[in-house]
Amino acid sequence: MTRPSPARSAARALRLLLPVAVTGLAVGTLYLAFFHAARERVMGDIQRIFYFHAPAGLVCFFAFFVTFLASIAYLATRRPVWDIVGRASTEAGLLLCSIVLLTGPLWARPVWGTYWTWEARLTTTLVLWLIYAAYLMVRRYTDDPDQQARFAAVLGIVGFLDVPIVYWSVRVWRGHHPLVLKVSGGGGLEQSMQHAFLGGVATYVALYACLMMLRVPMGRQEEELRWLRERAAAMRDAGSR
Amino acid sequence: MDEATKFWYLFIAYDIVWLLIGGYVVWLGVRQNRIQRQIERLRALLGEEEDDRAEGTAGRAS
Repeated sequence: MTRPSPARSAARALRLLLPVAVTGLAVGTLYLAFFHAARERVMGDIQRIFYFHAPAGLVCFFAFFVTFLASIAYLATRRPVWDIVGRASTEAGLLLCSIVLLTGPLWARPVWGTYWTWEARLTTTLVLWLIYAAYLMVRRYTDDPDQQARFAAVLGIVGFLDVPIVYWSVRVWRGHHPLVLKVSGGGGLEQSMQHAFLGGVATYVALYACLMMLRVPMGRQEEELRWLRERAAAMRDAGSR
Repeated sequence: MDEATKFWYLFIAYDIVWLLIGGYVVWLGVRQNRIQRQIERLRALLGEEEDDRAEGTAGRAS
């Protein structure tokens, strides 16, 4: 009997441990957000949406940064694995961006009196979601796998330009949206709020890693399925001749 | 807006987070199962066709 390689054993252990870590972190973050973090003076308890909303936005930026790197790597090497990584990261990023776009209006309604305003941060975030939705949809325009990956990679690189725009939009255009992270100076989050915020970031990072571990092997399976379909079609053609 | 109504917004936002994550994970699982089934079916089909070909070649040779 052959023993599995150390790398394979480590990957298997990580696959088992990661969902446990995500669950543990999620429970910990719930505690920090609802019991540990201080109640905000002006907004009250509704401000606790922040601990699910802002960390999702931050990790969504990271996911799109991974897509950006994978897109560059694909165009440079043409190795399908980079396309698989880019697609997996985009799906996870879109999920997180959807969380941001749905929880934001639910926070805005009691605080601003409206679900949505076309202010800079909200609009650029919606544009970001649309760009990466297009990254997934653009693949349907052609049947050639290399062309699909190339189109998507170009969009993955160009689309990333919107991420710094989203980040800096609150500083440059100064709309309703509050600044979340301050580069310098005081007046930021109170310490217990910082703990809950960091707990949220850790949970979403672990969730992102977990989703990548599920989605990347599935991308490989999709490649195998495509190859098998091509082979079956070639055999049918050969048989009919 | 009173605190009870504000609490409902918080509750719905929190539920949406779990629904989205859970929905995506379930969708991944369903899709992976479907792909796996298709791979197995095609492997079996290709295996059978290759066996038929091998038999055909052997029959012609004899």
